[in-house]
Amino acid sequence: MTIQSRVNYIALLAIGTVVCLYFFLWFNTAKVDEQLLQVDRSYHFTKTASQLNIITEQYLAYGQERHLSSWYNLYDELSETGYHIQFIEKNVVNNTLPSILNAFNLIRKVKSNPDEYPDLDQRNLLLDRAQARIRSDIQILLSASQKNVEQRMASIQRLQTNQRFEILIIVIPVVFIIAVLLYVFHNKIVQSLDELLSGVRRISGGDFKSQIPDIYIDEHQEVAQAFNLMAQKLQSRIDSEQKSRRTAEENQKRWEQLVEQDPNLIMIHIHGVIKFINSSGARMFGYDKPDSVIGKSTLSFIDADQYQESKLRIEQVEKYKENVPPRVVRLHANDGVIRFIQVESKPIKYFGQDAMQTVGLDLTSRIDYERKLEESIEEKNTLLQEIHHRVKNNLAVVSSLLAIKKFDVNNEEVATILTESEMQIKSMAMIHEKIYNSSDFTKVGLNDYITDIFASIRDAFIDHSDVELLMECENIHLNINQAVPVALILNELIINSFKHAFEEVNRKRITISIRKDNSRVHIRFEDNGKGLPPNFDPLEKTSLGMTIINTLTKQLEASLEMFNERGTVVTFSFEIRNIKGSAGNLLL
Amino acid sequence: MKIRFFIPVLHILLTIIVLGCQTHPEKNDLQPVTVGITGTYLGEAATFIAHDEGFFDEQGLDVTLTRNQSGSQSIRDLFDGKVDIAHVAETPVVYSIMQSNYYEGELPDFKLFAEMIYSHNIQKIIARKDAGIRQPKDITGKRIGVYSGTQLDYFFDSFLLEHQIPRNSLDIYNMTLDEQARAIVNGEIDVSVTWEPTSTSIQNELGDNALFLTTDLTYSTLWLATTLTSYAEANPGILESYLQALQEAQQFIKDHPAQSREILSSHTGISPDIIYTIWDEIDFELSLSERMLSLLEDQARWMIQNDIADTTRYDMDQFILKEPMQTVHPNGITIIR
Repeated sequence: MTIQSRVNYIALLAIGTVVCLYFFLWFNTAKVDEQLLQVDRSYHFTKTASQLNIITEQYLAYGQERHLSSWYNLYDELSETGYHIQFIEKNVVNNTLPSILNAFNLIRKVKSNPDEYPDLDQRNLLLDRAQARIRSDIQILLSASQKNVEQRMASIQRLQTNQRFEILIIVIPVVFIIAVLLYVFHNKIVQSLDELLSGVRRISGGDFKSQIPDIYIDEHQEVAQAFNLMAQKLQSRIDSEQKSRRTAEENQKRWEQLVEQDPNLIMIHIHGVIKFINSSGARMFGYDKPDSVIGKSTLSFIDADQYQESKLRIEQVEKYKENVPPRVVRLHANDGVIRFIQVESKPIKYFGQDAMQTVGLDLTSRIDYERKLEESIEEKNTLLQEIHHRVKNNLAVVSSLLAIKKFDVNNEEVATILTESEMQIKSMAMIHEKIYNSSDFTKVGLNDYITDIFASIRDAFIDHSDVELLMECENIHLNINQAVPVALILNELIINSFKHAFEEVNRKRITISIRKDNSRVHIRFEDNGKGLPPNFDPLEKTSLGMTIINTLTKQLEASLEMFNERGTVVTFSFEIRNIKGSAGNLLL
Repeated sequence: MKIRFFIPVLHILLTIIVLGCQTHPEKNDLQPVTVGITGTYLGEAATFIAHDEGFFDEQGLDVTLTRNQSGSQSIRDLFDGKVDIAHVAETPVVYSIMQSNYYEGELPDFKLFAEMIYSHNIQKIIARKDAGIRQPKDITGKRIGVYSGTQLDYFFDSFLLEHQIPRNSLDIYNMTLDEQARAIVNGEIDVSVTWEPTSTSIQNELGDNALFLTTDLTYSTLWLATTLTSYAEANPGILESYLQALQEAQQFIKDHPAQSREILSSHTGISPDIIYTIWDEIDFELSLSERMLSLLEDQARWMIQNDIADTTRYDMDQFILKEPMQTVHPNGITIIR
């Protein structure tokens, strides 16, 4: 039962009692009023009876008519009043009133007809007897009226006494019941609150498995149930939390093991101040233990050249929550070693705070190795450049020797052979020159090389210094082992054109186009000379030049075609290959 | 809390036990009281009921009723010491006071200590029609039966006075009520001056031959409880107890009228139907009224005027004993002091 219901019951009882008391008092007041009305009427009755007695005596004394009318009026009033009075001796009054009337009528009869009563003494005696009768009866009425008044007053007194007693009869039990109810109610509430408090204390003491038992007061029962539910949920939550914590601890342990065992840097820092770092990271910073690094600023370890950039990266991550790409920073570690660490950072939450997680890979050894490798390559490149330079110089010497020999030879055919040999050697020397002047010793740019070869050959053939070269070439670089055969083939083709094609040509032009189609190189040589002789078969031609061309074409595994259009056209194409070994060997 | 609760409960239980264990006093413990009553008078109803219903016993009185024909016999028994209390109308009392030879012996000092009823028109004058009586004046020269020394004397005198009938024109016989009843039925007298219920019995006997002669001077008699002064002084408690028992009986009459009439019938031998017809003529109420004194004085004066009294000095007030009534029913005392 709820407190509200109990209070309502008590209030209802109190209100009911008040209503009962009100009706009881109203009823009693009505009864008292009725008694008072009777008293009032009795007083009026007494007064009228007394006046009737007086009027009777006056009539007897004086016999006036006005006394008669007064008497009857008073008698009627007396009868009327008596009729409305509830006399205790009702019969007395009812019997007395007619007796009075009869006696007075007798008096009136005697007074009105004195002749019928000639004996004066007898007449007076009769009148006295009648008067005595009236007086006696009026005394009865007065006595009855007085008794009635006394009785009514006693009734009023009794009513008032009873009223007090009955009010007490009503009030005392009700007050007692209400007091008992309140007492019981109070005890129930206190008991209920004690049980509730005891249960709440158990729960607040951490005993979430305990349940508050059923409580008599419904509101407290609801609170108890709410506490029970709360305790149940708390216990469940705690169980869940404990399970989660165990899982988290296991994960953390695993994570810590992973982090600790990670050879790379794993670090968490806020505004650059290190909050967490693994052992590997600590070692990268030149410390034995992570605790020695925690609290230090990462920027204090950064090389001065990278300080500003690193600061900006930190701000970028913290402000824009963006990941920053990996970058190698140079650390001036505590142990005096400069380390190169490739770091990569991302924004995270660390104990509720914005932080940065940075992972780093120690590249110091690798960078040292690369530096040493670069130095070795540089050294070898220098050596190779020197070799190419010396080869070129040697070839230049050979070429020069052949040029000198040519001046000594009068035979034009020999001179031509020497010139061609000179050109071939120059072409090879030119390749070495191109290589050692190049940064890349493995590839040779065909455009410049062909232009230089053409220029060299045109210088050698003074009569054809007006030959124009049109280059329609993509910038293609070839491995030296393919560039040399290509250069020698073109060298032979250019010399051949200078030697045989432009005898009757005004505007001499050689067009070389080189294009690359995927990995295949297509080369087209064309002149506007007189073209190939009829029935020319390059495979049957046994000249040295064609032999060289055929041999080199075969080495390149190229397909060669020679035909006439507006002059001689030679095309060949081959696959680009990264061929190892010496170019010279290809000629063999 | 619990002790306070149980104290009133325990008190109530003890009261119930004590009251429940209370027994009426044994007969031997009762005070013997002998009362002279008029055995056929309806005004004795309260006395019969108090006797039969045990109200006297409850008051510790062992009342013995001595049944007489009239109050005049009862008061003589009182004076003779045969009864302790006598129920009597006012006329024998006045006779005792005003007429020295009314009681043959030396008149002892006595007291009136209660009026017990109000009655109306219980006195009747019944005549035989066959005696030639049709109206009051016709009784002239007729044989009249009157119980002398009782209230009927005064009543009949008023009747004669009203109707201007000389007393010496009548042939008056002093007869008790029973004697009158037999005489008028037998035709030995022509007129009976009597009271109820004898008059109704006579009427029943005569049938159509009966004629009630009316009077405007109806008479309301008193019915008084008297005792010797010596007895009253010696036993004031008995008188109070006696009145207390009568008062309880009168209340019983108000509460149980039919049962009361049955009891009255059983004592008087009068049928309940007759009692019922005149039941409203009597009211049972204890009092000591000024009217009583007036009536006594009126009758004293009447006796003097008619030369019945042998003294002209009277003081009715000295015969009134108020104390018992003052104790039992003080509101009943309306004597003007």
